[in-house]
Amino acid sequence: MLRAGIGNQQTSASRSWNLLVFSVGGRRLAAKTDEVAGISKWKESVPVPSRTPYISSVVRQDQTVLPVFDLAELLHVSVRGNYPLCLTAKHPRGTLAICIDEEMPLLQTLDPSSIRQYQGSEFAAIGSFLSVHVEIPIIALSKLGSASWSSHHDTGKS
Amino acid sequence: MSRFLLVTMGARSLAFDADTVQGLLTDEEAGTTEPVTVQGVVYKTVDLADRLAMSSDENGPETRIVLLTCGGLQGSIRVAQVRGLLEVDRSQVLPLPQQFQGEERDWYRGVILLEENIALVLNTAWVLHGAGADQGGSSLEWQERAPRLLAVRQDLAMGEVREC
Repeated sequence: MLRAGIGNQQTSASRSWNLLVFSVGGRRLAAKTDEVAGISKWKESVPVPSRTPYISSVVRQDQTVLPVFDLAELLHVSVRGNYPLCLTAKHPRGTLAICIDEEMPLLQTLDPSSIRQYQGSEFAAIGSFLSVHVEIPIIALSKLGSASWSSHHDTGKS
Repeated sequence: MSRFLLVTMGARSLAFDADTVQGLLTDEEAGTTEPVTVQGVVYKTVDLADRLAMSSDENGPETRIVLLTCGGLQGSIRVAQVRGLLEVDRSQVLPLPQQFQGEERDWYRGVILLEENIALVLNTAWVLHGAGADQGGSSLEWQERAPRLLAVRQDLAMGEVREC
């Protein structure tokens, strides 16, 4: 029984999606934990004049410099809280830093059957799910700032 | 090893390859006539704050005019403060993160880690692109100007300081 139970759990876990649920400007979002490198205290960013949409600053982490993707600007919101957090995201071009609300992110395991298509278009999403009647989009962190997506959705910045 | 002139502008730290710096002038030394002419060389004014869309704070007591040359072009920029000369190993100049995908890749040569901050290393060739192609010419003013003015206040200097 126990062994079978563990086996079922493992099978279920391998099918499930592990998500990190966080918020930016009070808007709840999720991301696959595979695409999250870590959560840490937000350090003051250094502006870098730039023409790349939503990337115009960097943060220093020890001996490395991480570009900041301004997700709050993309969502037209302001990050909430006096002590915002830094979500570091894995990205094909290197790790990205994203400033998120100070509300501590939650880990959530989701059955794939509960994931549905996300209708919004402001960012690349893998899908969405309902949580207490609120749709939470699953943002594709690895596609943030990708040219194909940006060209469709960036209007005022070039 | 590479040497950089470290300045502040718009509350940001910027660095220029020291080999491209021809001199530093105070407002008094630069005078009111533009463009600045030193030793017969005309340094066209480059509004770097405007080109980088940064706030302009270059009118304080520490304001300096930096004379630059690169690829046959000369230009002058105003900076809020000259912090000093910094000598670092080439490996300490980090590349601009790949996520910066726009034309800014031409603006910077990289990033230098400072003690608490970072400095953006500007591409002098890009900076001077806005100065036009004039090579300067003879001027009566040159006799009144000191040659090769690269001198940095010791108390502001970071790293190894050498006067040229």
